[in-house]
Amino acid sequence: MPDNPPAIVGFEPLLQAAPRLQVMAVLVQAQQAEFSRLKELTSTSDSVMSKHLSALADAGFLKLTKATANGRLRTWASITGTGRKTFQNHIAALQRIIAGTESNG
Amino acid sequence: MSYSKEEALLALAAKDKVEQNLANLPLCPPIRHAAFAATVAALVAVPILPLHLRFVGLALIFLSIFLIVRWDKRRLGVFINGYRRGKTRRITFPMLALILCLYLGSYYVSLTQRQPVIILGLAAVAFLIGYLGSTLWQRVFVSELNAG
Repeated sequence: MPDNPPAIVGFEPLLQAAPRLQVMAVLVQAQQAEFSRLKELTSTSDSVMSKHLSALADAGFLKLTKATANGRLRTWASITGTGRKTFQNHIAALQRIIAGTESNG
Repeated sequence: MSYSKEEALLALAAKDKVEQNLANLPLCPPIRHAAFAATVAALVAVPILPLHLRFVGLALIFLSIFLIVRWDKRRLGVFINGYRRGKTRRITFPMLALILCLYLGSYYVSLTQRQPVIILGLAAVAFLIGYLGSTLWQRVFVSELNAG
């Protein structure tokens, strides 16, 4: 988890990068997603996706596992309970900002 | 921390976009719905088997579930759990309740009347419910994700 608590209630600075938010959005809907599919869905490159997944996994928002399929080692991501809750709180914070009911700045 | 309304709108738009991308994957072809329906029908038909073979039947059903999950993961690169939170639960739980009723009915028939035709009839109904339920589930999923 980040050291500095967010100023906006529920807002998670780590999810400010769109691809990270998108990865979390996919994993909230799908129990598991494979690295290359996440890359394709979010239109990012290998290296960028790799960095985002590592950052989210380090924060405890998702779990990465490796599995062999068709002779190739593939990385699968799944969301954790903390990750799901953080994502939901973050989305709620964004909705409050849009509604103008969240003071920020 | 400062985060403007415009930035929040962009972030939610990015989330909606990726959900639409997920919804637009070729999720389940008709054969996949049929595979699920066949598994459900097989479960309802299990009481037709002699007692000592029922465990074999159930083991084969569990194996088929494992194979379907593996097929989904290889085909799509994602695994979407049927019990996921959201509007699809309005399909999932009533469908499971119906299948359970059919299974109990089939079990009851196997104990009392021993008429394989009735059990096969119940299995056919289970297939229909499984196929239609799976198709409807996918429609609700796609519609929910496209709605943002």
